[in-house]
Amino acid sequence: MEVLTSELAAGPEPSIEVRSRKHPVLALASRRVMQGLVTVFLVSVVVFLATEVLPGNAAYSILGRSATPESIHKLELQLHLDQGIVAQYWYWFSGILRGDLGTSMSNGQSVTALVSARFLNSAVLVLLAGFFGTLVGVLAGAIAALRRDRPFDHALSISSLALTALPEFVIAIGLVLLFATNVFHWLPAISLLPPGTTPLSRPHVLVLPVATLVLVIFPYIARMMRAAMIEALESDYVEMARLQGISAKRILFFQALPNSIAPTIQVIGLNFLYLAGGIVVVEYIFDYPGIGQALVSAVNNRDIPVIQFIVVVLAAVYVVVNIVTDVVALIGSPRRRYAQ
Amino acid sequence: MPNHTENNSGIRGVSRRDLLRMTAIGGSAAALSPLMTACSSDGGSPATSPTAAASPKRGGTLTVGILGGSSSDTVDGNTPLSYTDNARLANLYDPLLTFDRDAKIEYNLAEELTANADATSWTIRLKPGIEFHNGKTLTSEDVKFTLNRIASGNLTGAPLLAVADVKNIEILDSQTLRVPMLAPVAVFNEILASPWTFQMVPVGYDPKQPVGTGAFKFNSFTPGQQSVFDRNPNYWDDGMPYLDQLILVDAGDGSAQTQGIQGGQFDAIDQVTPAAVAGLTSAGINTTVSRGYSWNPIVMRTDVAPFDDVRVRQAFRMILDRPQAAQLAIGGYGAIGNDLFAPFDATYNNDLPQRVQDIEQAKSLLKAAGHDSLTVNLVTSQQIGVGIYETAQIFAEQAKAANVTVNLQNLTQAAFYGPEFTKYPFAQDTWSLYTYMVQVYYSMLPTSQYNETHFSNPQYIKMAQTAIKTVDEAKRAEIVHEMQAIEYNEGGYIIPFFTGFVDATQANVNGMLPSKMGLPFNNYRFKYLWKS
Repeated sequence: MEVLTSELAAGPEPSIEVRSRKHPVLALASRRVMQGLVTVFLVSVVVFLATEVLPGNAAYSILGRSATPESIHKLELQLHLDQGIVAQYWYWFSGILRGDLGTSMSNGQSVTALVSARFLNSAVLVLLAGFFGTLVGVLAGAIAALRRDRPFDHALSISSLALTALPEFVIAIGLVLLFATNVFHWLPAISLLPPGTTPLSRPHVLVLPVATLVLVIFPYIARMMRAAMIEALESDYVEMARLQGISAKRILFFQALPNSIAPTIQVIGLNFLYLAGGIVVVEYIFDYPGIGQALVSAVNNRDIPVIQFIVVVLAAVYVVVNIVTDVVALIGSPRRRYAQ
Repeated sequence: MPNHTENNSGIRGVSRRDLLRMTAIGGSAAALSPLMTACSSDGGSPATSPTAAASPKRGGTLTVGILGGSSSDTVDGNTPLSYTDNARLANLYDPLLTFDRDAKIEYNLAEELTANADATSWTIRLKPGIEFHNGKTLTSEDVKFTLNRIASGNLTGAPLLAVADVKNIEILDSQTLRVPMLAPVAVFNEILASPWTFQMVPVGYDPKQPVGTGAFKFNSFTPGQQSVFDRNPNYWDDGMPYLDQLILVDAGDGSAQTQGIQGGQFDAIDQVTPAAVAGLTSAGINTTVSRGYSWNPIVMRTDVAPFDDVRVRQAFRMILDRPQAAQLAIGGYGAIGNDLFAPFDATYNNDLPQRVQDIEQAKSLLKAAGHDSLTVNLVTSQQIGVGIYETAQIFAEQAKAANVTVNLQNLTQAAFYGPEFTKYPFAQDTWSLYTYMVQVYYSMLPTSQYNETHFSNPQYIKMAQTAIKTVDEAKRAEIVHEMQAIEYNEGGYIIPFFTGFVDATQANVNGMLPSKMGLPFNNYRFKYLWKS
């Protein structure tokens, strides 16, 4: 994921060169999409190689202890594992180009059938956690900025510091002990989701996983929002607006808020990126049938088509979230929006 | 009040009938039997009477959180590879023979198995009137089909079936068939009773329509997630099953299991770690300890240095403090081993003295073999079973006293069972419940599929060849005793203890009894359980 983080590091300050006649936003977006495609391709190559380096292959993993040299050989032929690395990669890649995601090596089901429901489950988790995390973070940050150095502000800084210091599994287990197993028995301790049902039809199984992720991400957003808001409130243009007699409400919503949202969006984007990978732990703890679980199982089974598909989609999510945050940040900051 | 039920660890244990008698008079099995000890670490007082004696009630759904599970899960009756597979198959299908709770072979679908005088063929007679889930009656053709399916498809049981000439099975009538052996085999019944492997499927079986004779019939299955099975109303075993529905959930790891049972989503969970028992007991959840005869040996390859020197093997067998290792690695929930497998077998040699830790003797043996100090690599894996890696750690720690440095090489499961498996000079492994001769056939002869110790003692091989065709059990026992004496002195297995399993159930789940089968829930046979 090195490629991605460096991409990300370059993210917050999109520098627009005035070479093309295109609208700067379009220019940025199209260049980033091209870079993104290259990134995703490289990720697929690196992950494929990494899977190849792991000892054992799908045939050994499927047959396990009962493997005999003959049965291994038969299965390797069946799964094309006898071919060279390049041929195997091409077999997968050409399938992708034809729109065929391949079939799972461990049970012969199509990769799409195997992971689409899980993607949906994970997406629900990420989007809900992202939405509530953002909402709580922005609101709490804004309120703390407006009530600077008052009890709410202090309470927020202490609790957000404490929360950022705790790993997600500690938060998750704390919530489970409190609301599911030891103190109260209000919520399910694990998120069992019978196949064929969507998490939205059983909202109670989502409460604890979403709450865990909200507690993990909101402190970062709140702290950024608070800082940006304070900066905006102390800025010259807000001072000017006040002197002109514009109402405090108007200043807040039309001056301070838009200007503090831009830097906060970068942090929100970063948190969505975290969520895309960070849900693995939370899915594991709550036994939630998402892609995290599927990826762990696929790696254990050396199930290359499934690993590749999940990783490529995750990489694509990283790239897309990066592009979206950059574009939104650009649109949100008028000074940088137009070429000078 | 939570029950904590255990069976005893000894070889001469109380029988299931004794246990039922004791529980029927309302006493505690753990308190009444001097052989049975309530584990002091469970935090509970002696157990109240296990509820198995009450009369069972019909109905209800049992949701079980099973450890593990992945996208390679199967419901094909003849290709089990993991405990989660076994949990499904044991309820959908039945074998001809099985082990009961006392690790004795009992008839299941078969009514009788008899060898001819020289053990060159076996006649199998089926119980009459057994129906598959699709309404078809079980006949000898189905047995012939299943055995051929396993052998020709090279499925899980194929290596064991290699003794039989399955292509030339003779159908005698609709309930009877004769299986010719390729060479005389006096223990074909023991082979067919091996857990995991010989579930009967109907002629023309398609694993996509998993039809068996089991207590539960197929409803739905999603690999890596869950399976739902419904009560088989036409089940052959009187009155069973009691439950209307069985839901088996792949619970991933142990913490999701304990969370799930404490939160009330699971009615039962398997393979509870010793460390979790106290917490569950205090939360009002019943635990049942089954001290079985599965075993996780440390394997020395007898044909490569330093283990080609018998003195090194003998020294290594004296390194471990076995009771302490059993306590640390599996919470004491297992019987102490004597480097010999299958203590439940009627032919087992009980006369060999229990091996104990003797560091001084080990040192002098190593010195005699020319090793003042020794460094070895032990290939292990945290993913192949409970307590295995811990045993390796304890061994490494205790070996220091004998000037032996043991470096642990911790592999993933896929790597461990990779191309090098059975070729490691020094490694661990895991074995289920097989009778003595079946295990010999599986792992002790140069022709064995899993001859991981590379044991090749001409005298031993000759005795094994005689024993396998000796129909008279008493005569066979004499030979086996000598074979075990050779293993005891020269073999490559270190068997410090046998493994136990802890199952946990909610207070309203009844019918739990300890089993010596060495598999959770008496080999996942949920037909015995009922809810109140």
